[in-house]
Amino acid sequence: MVLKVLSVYVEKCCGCRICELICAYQHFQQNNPKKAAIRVFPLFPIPASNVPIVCRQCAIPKCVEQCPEQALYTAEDGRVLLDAKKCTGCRACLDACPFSAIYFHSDMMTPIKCDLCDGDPACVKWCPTRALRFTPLAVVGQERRVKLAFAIGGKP
Amino acid sequence: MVQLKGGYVGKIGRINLSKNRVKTEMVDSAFAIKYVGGRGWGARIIWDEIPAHAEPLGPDNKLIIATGPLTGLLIPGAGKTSFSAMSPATGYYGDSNVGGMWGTELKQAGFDALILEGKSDKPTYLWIEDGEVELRSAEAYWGRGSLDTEIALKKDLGDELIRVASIGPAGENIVKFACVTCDYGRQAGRTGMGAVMGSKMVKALAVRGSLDIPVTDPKAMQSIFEESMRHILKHHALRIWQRQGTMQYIDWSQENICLPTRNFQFATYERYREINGDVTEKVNKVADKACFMCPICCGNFSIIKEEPHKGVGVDGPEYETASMIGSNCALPTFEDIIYANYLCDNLGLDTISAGNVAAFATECYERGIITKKDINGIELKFGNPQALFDFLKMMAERRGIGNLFAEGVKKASEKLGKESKRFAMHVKGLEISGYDVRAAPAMGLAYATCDIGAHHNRAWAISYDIQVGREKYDEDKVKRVIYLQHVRPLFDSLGTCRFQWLETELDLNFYARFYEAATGVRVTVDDLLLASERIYNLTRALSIREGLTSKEDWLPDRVFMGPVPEGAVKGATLDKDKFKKMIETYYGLRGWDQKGVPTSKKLEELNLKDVAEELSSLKTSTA
Repeated sequence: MVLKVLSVYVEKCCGCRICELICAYQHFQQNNPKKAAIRVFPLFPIPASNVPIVCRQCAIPKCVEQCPEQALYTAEDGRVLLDAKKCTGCRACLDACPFSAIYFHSDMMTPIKCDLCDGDPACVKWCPTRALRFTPLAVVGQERRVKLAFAIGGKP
Repeated sequence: MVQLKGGYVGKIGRINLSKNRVKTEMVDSAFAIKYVGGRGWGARIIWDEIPAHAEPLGPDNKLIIATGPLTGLLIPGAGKTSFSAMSPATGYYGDSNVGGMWGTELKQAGFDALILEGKSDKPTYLWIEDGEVELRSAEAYWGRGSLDTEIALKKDLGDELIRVASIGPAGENIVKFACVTCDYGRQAGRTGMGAVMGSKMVKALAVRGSLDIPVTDPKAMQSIFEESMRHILKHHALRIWQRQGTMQYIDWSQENICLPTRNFQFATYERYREINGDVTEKVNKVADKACFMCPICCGNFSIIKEEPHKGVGVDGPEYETASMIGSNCALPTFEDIIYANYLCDNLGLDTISAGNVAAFATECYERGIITKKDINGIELKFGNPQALFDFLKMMAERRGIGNLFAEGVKKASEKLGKESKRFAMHVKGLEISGYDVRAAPAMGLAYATCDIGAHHNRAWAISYDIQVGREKYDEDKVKRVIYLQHVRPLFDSLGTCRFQWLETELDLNFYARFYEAATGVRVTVDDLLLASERIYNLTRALSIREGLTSKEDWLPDRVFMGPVPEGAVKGATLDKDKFKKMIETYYGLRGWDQKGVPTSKKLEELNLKDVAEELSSLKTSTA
């Protein structure tokens, strides 16, 4: 099975937050971008950029390590998933995550965590600037490498 | 009785600043639907609550900040909010529409709209969170720039993701064209809404919301959204809009000889290549800036690369800024424009009016109407960036002769005398925005009849002039202007941006479908356009109530007497007689009498019987 991952190209993000709202619709059918597993941070004034923060499905996930109830686990396809039945909402995962890429909302007992929409992430599908990609692990970073390769060795 | 199930949150926050009192009111469904939202709600609330002839800067004026039924929803471009009040710039009805994230946050905080009434006696800001509104002291922020205030508030409140609308020193000092800035650089720029906020001593509105915005049929909403996105994402114009945004129009206006230059004396700018979309994209742009839910992301964040202002950045410039402060003040480089844009944003000045006023002052200086002594020794000539920067600060601080120009070109020219009136480029006291109309009768008509004064966004008819023939003054053009005056402000009522429709040709039917999925109320595009016509007649009635006459549906002398000096339309001016005819035709087609007053028949047809009655009682009392 080919491992696909969600990657973020910060320099392409325009900060429109379509990813946030479509995530909330996809998972909860609710019009509430605060119920998304992704959040865009506008940085101002310098450096002016938009930075989406979302779970990276770490290979060695700190959230899984620190979960006292074993509610978080790594699935066979590499995704880090939550078993909500076991979860107590203690937020140890949030403390453990180096990116704080796990979100909480007062309407919910358990965290909102990216599950990659079972293999077809809605945020990637509707990202208008292709700042979000869902690609095989081997391809992540390829675009930048190719650009660099041209810069180093490209002759007309 | 229709019951609304979504789209609207259903609540309005009424904040009485004199009494330090906050009240939450439920929204009546019939009212909500009839006036749609945004500026429609603003206009009706003003009609009902503000007494005729209330002083725009006094406690009787109210600032109505209203989202629309589609604001904050899963709809491309759904990030818009309207600020409405009686305008201190014109004395008539005024509103300005702003994008960004602020309106979405307000709805998530549980309010469709806020009504700011009365007047505080000390600097205040509002903290709004999940159904609660709190008045807090803004002593610590008073006197600070708009952007500086937003940075400080976020830091003090400990959350970078709260959304802030704020005014700068210009708003505090009641400069007649002061704006309200949201989200570090989206402005409710026009008609002096920042001055109204400043007169009430409200420095900022800080919001955090976590509530769901109710939607009747989320499944339908998502599927219509996906359908609309499939259309937009494959549209040929998308990429250029993402890359350059409105800045691409500098070249367009130059080519079509309508780029205001040196206070509208010229219609092309010899240095346009140094201030256009290509320069934006290739030299100074560091990031895209989108409003909520917008795939077009027309905003550009630009940073100055060279000394002396190296490192200063701004959300912008937009076309309107680059034309009104750029070519119209003859600024030599794009970096000068970025810096002027930054100054305006932080000082809290509308870049359109500020550019227009500065160009007017510059022409006054060059013609000797004002002297170097009058302006603190500044060499206020076209193409002198430092002089412009100093002058902007003088206006925002009302320092020296800046105090006079802070009143706008209409009042300044009345003080300065007859000659200056000929080139004071405004309609009804609102400065003309970025299009030269001497060879564009439809656009001229759009400016002359726009309900808030000379603003391009009600009816951007100049492309139609160019399409069908610039010399024509016919009925077809009048009809086009009226159609645009209904369809374009409709977006300001719905709470979405018009660019998805205008630039990526998203069918209007989508908006009727979105409205139904959101609210549960079935509407057609015609229903929505009729509501927009109702609103347009209501804003007209509001201004008539304040004493507006048909004399003010007119353009400055320069448009009729000063021929275009260059290019393919060289020698063109608008023809007074033909233009007058056009206005008469316009009144007729609108169902207004020959004095430009909506007839009772028209108002009743639009279900505005009470407005008709008040207008006719006004007529008999003045007759």
